[in-house]
Amino acid sequence: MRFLACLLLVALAACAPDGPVLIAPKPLPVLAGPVADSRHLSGDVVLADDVRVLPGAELVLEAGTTVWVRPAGSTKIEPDQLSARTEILVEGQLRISGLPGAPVRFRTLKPQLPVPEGDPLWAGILVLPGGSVHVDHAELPSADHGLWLLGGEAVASDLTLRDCRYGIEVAQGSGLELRRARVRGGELGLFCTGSARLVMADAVFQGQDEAGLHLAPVCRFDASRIEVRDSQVGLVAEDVPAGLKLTGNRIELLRPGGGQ
Amino acid sequence: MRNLLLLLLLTLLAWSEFASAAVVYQGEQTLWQDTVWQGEVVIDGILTVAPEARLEIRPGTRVLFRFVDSNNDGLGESELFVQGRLLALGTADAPIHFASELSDQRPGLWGAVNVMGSDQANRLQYCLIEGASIAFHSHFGRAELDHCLFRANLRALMFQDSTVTLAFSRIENNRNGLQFRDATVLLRESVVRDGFWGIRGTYSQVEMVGCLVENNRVNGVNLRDSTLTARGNMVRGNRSGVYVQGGQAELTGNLVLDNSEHGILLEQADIQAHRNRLSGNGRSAVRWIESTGDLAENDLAGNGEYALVNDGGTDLSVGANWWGGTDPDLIHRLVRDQADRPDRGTVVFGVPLQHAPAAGGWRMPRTP
Repeated sequence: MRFLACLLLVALAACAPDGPVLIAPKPLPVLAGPVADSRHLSGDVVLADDVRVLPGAELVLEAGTTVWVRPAGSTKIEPDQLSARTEILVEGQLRISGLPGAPVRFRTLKPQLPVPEGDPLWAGILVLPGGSVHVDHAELPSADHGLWLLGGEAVASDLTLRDCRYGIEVAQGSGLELRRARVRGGELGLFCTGSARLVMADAVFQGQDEAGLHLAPVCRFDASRIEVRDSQVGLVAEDVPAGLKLTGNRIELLRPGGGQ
Repeated sequence: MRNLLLLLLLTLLAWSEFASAAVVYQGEQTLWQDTVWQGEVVIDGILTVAPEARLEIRPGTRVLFRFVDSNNDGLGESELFVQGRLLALGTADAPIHFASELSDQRPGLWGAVNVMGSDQANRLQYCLIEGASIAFHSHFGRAELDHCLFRANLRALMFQDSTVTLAFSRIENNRNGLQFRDATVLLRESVVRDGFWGIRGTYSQVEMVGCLVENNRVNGVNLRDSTLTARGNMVRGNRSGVYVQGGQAELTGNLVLDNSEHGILLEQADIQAHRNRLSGNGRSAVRWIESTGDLAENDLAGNGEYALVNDGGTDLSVGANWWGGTDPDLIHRLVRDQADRPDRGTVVFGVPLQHAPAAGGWRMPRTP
C-alpha cells in the first residue's frame, strides 16, 4: 500500500506543470572606453559606448566576431572623442581579423533616441594621425563613415560597407590600401579630400545617392579594376583615372566647376 | 663678527631657496582668501578657488599641473576649479603659462581651468594654455579672454550657460577648438585652426567678426539651433566651412574658400547671406536643405561639383549672385535642383551679377 502511494506520488509529480525557470544568460562582453593595452575579442561583443584605442595600444577583433553597436543615448561628446554618435577612434592599432567564412560583422542595435529614417546609427571607425587599421573579411553597415581616415592609415581587404553615409573618407596625410571591397548605398562611396595616397584594386562602388567617388585634385589615386555603377554621379574628378570603369551612373563624370 | 657673517650668509641662502621654490598644492585643496601667484606654481590634484575669493596670477607666472591618472584612461586629472574670480593678466613680454609639468605637452596631460558658477568677470590676458583636456571651461560663468594662445589641448575652450568674449587669440593644433551650449559667445579677430572641429555649438548666440577659421579636418563652424552673426571672417581649408542646422544665421562679407566639402551647409535654417565670396569649395558653395532666407550679391563661382544645391523639397529663389558668367545654361549646370532630382525643389535665380562683387575686407587677425 505504501509502495502504491509512493508510485502515485511520483506519477503525479511527473504530470505536474513545469515550475518557473530562471533564465539568466551570461552578459555579453562589453567594449567601451579607452583601450590602453592589447585586447583581443571574439564571439559576440557589445560596442556599448565610444571606444578610443590609445597610442601604442592594440584592439583585435578575431575571426567570426559579431560587434553589436549600441547607438548613442545622448548628443554629448567627450573631449577626447569626435562624434556625438558611438565611435571607434583609433590612435593606436585596430585589427579586424576576419577569415573567409568567418567574417567580422558589425550589427546595430535599436537606437535609444529617435533617429530620422536614413540617418546613420553610429559614427563608424575614425583613424587619427599615428593610428592604423588592418581589416580582413569584414562587414560594416549604417555608419556615418564606414572608415574615416583623418590622417591615419588603413589596409583593408574583403570589406563590405553598406548604407554608410560616407563609405570611406580620406583626409589629407592619410593612406589607404583597399582590395576586394564592395561599397553599397549611402551618399558618397569614397571621398578623398586632400593629398592622400590611395591604392585600390578589385572594388565595386554601387548605388550612391551623391557620387561613387569624389577625388580632390591633390588626391593620389592608383586604381586597378575599380567599378562605379548605378550612382547619381559616378566620379567627381578632373579625369577618369586608368583602371576605373564607370557604368550606368546618371552622370558618369562630373568635373570640378560643373563640367560634364 | 665671523658668526654674524655666517648668519647673514645662511639667511641669504634660505631666502634664495624660498624665492626660487615652486608653490605646490597637493591633493584637494581650497583657496579661501584672495591669493596672488607669481613665479612657479604646481597643482598636484584639484585646487578650488572658493566663492568670494579671488585668484590673481601675475605676469610671467608658470602654473604647472602634475600628471595624475587614477583611472588609467590616459588623461591627467589635476585641475584648477574657480568658483570665485580668476584674474590671469599676463603681458606681451611676460605671458602666463598654464601647462603640464611634463616637458612633452601632448593633449590631455591635465584636466582644465574650470570656472564654475562664477558670475564675476573672469579675465585671461596674454596666457598660453597647453596640454590640457579642456584648457578653459566655463559653466554658469562669465569670462573675457584676449591675446591668448591655446595649443595641444583635447578641447581648447568649452562653455555651457556662460557668456564669453574671445578676442585677438589663437586656438591652434588642438583636437577641438571651441565647443559650447546655451552660451553667448563673441569671437573677435581670433584664429581657430588645425584641429578636427573648429567651432561647434548648440542653443547659443554667436557673433564672429574678423576671425580666421582654417584647416579643421571636420568642420570649421558648426552650429545647431543657434543664432549666428558672422561678418568679415575667413573660413578656408576646412572640411565644410559653415554648417548651420536649425536656428538663424546672418553671413555678411565673409570669405569661404577651399573647404573640401561645402562652403555653407544649411539645414532647416533661416539665413541672410550677402556679399560673401564662396569659391574653391570641393562639393558646393552652398548646400540648401529645407531652409528659408535670402542669398544675394555673393560670389558663387569656381566651386567643385556645384555652386548651389537645393536638397530640400521646397523651391528656392535666390537674388542676384555672381556665378562666373551670365549664361543661363552655365548657371543651370552649376545648380542642382529638381531638374536633376525630381523629389527636390527647383532653384529660381535672379538676374545674375555681371561681375564678381568686391571681396570682403578681411585681414589677418592681430594675435600675439
